[in-house]
Amino acid sequence: MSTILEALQYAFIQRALVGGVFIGCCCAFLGVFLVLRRLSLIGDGLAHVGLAAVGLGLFLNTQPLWVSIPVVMFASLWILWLSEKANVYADAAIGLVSAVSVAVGIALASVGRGFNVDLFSFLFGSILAISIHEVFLSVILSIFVIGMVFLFYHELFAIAFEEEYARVLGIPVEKINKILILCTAVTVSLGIRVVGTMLISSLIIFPAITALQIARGFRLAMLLAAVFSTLSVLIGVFVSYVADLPTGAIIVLTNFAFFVLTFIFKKMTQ
Amino acid sequence: MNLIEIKNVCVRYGPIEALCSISLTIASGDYVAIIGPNGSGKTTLFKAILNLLPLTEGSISLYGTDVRRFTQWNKIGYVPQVSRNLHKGFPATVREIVASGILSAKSFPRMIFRKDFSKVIRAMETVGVCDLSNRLIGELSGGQQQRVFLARAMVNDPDLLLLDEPTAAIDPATREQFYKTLREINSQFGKTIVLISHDASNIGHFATKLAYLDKHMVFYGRFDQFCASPEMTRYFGPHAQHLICGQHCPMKGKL
Repeated sequence: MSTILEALQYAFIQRALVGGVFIGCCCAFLGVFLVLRRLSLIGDGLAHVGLAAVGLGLFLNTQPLWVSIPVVMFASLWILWLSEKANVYADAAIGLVSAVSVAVGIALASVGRGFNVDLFSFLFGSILAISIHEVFLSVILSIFVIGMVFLFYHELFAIAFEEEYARVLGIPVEKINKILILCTAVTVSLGIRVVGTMLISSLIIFPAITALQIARGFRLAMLLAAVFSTLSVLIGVFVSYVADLPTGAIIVLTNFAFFVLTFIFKKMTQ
Repeated sequence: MNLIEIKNVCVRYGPIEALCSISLTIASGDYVAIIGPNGSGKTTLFKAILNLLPLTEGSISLYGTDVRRFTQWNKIGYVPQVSRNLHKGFPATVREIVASGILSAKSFPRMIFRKDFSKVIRAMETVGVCDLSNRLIGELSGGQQQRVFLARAMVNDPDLLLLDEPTAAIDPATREQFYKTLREINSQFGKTIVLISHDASNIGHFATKLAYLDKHMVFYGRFDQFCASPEMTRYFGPHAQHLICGQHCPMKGKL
């Protein structure tokens, strides 16, 4: 307990907790919709785009987040366009866009040899190194994303359950899909700082599938996903501080532990 | 009053003609069963009525308004064709599913308030699923799920119900009970019902009119007229008449 209190004294721990919890909640809320719509791997695809965008940001010597957010948003709309208008299957569209992005990222890393170490930190995340400006940006954008999810909650629910029926209800499905995917793009860009491009999809998938094991209602599933995500960030940050382990990896492993526990609980109570 | 007017409608999927020269008028209080073989265009016709598909030719009016300009979707309740496994694992309760039907009566921002839940409870009572209120949709049997979707379709108290093969995933006994429920909704609440079914022999006991579709309209009229028509023998064969029409009870509905 004293170690936790000691850790809380440090500004970098405070920043990591605030940024991590907000971004984690965004991932959890969006994750429930993405998982139920079989779109959960979009986080992985967009993370690859994010890495290339971070590379571009470092190459241009600007704040990587300012570059990655618009680039990832553009890529998300490209994926949506490919799957809706160009008759490319959604998983193939994700693969196409992420492969092109990784190729661009590798090319940029090769040209700008000096920033490879910085790029490495985005590959595996470095939330303990998050700056105060990044925390502010993360909190503001997270509040925006969470606000959008709550504003369009009923539309997102109806589309996740049955897209065609949602159209019959008069819901503008294409517009809501764009909102969902753009919010995901913003969240992935922010999440890269927390767990890195390699693990960001797990921050979207794990809290959602863990909540889906035990939730007895949609609102409860959203709430539980946010709780699991928040707990995994808190545990991840403190354990990594105490044991001197990589924070992103510990957050993901904590999420995995929650999933295993809920899975066992579900099997035992069935 | 005519709720649906379909005039010379054709729908093509690329070079494939799914429907052609369909004309049909459905008046308030009708209970119409649409039957026909697989690929005959039954579901396509529903999708055209719901403006989910563009028409190649012709026009469809709902409540006197062209379907492309129609906005009062809360006046129409729709029960889509579903397979039971589709919703397995979806974490929504029956109450949440039924409540989602309210969205057609809302404009942005679409919020569901506490007062809206009186509509949800009334719809669940009408189709007898109140006791399932807190159950997850994926845990229910096919028949229970269809009742839930019927409650969702009825939550805004629409005048017109469109049901696409609502009994496909349920056993014969439950199917008959489901048809009876629809008959009550039609006769007691005055709702207009249009239903797609493969179950030609059973639905004739309950529906007041029958439409036989095979890319074009083969027959539209009363079930007893269909049984006596040459189309019956042509499409079902000479021996099917007894099976389909043999145990037919006199219809009690409005004609």
